[in-house]
Amino acid sequence: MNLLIHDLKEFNQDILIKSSQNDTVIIAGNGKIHPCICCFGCWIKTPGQCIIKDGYDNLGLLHARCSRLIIISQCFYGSYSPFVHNVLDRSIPYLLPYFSTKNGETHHKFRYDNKIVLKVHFYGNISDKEKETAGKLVRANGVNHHAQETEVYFYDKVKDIQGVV
Amino acid sequence: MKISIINGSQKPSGSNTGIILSTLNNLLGKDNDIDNYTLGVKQFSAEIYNKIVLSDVIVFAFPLYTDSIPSNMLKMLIESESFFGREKAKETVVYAIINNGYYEGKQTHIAFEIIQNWCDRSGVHFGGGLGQGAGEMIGATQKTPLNKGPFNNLWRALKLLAEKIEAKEPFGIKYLSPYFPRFLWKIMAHNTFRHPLASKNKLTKKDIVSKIM
Ligand SMILES: Cc1cc2nc3c(=O)[nH]c(=O)nc-3n(C[C@H](O)[C@H](O)[C@H](O)COP(=O)(O)O)c2cc1C
Repeated sequence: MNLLIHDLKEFNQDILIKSSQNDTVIIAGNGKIHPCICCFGCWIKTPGQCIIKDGYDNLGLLHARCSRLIIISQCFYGSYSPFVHNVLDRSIPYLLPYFSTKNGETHHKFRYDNKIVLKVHFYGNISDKEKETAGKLVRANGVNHHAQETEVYFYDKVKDIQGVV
Repeated sequence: MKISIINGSQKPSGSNTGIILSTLNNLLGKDNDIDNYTLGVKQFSAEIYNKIVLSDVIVFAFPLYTDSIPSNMLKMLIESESFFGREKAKETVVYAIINNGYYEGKQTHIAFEIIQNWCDRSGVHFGGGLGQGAGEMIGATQKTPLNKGPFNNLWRALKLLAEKIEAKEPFGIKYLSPYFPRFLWKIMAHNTFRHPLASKNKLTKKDIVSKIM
């Protein structure tokens, strides 16, 4: 399954989704997503599931089912937009509370065995320094989200983003 | 010196950021004019932004979320950008205090770059700051004064940071982990933090690792 997270105001399915396979789940903003309050309920109350019931409580499960995680986000200072960031923050039920050490650094153990390809499409007026930061951020997210491969693309204009799936 | 200190933790209460900031407040001289703001999951009003932009120094303190800045704090940074009148802002110095859950404070380095990129866009100076690892252990050991226990290096770094803030001088970026071995920290986090909390909710170890499909 493909999981596509985006912050576009207008989503043109024909332009963005070229694949004929009908297995893409799309996460978009409805203006009602609640920020993660770091309660760890998804680890110690309802393992694997967020306790905030606002329609974004199943992100851990969606991450578990996907093989390709595709993100389209406006770039702010080398980071995602607040909405996309929020969706990623709310995805920690995908992980276990336990720690492991990878390349000399601590990370979380994985609840699921799936491996993903993470592709991020950043758009907006992005400086070279911000592009560098964004590249580092996506690679770091890849390590924490069990990604085998990460790819980052930059666009000046939304209309240049095409066929991401 | 007018100092604005912003706690960007998204927890409703009991944040590790809050513990660090109360120490910083105590270390700053009483003659400073200090405003503390808690952002939480809300946004600031225009009135608050107008006060913050008049500060000589701004301290952004927040937890690391997804290797970067929590979404609500990020939203605040985007909104605040338009309040920084370039001329005045040129004199403002911004410091950051970032705590993260993993043991290594070094993992905050991308969030520091993001703050620096925000400073570039807002026309303010970046003064550096502290990246502190094992953040949840700050709350778990809070009965021990910060200058006595595993975070005494953090306390010393905060003392130095307070001096730099008062002089509006660059601090550089310092990454810290606690004075406590990583393997013991890990055992402690697994055994004394996660398991008892989960068993209070009648969950076994098997429940904690369950896969829902
Ligand atoms: C959604 C979410 C994402 C997090 N991401 C990271 C991370 O990428 N790296 C890390 O070291 N800690 C991460 N943490 C752990 C927090 O930084 C840590 O719990 C921190 O001490 C919370 O600080 P506070 O009490 O001031 O809110 C994350 C926590 C949450 C809830």
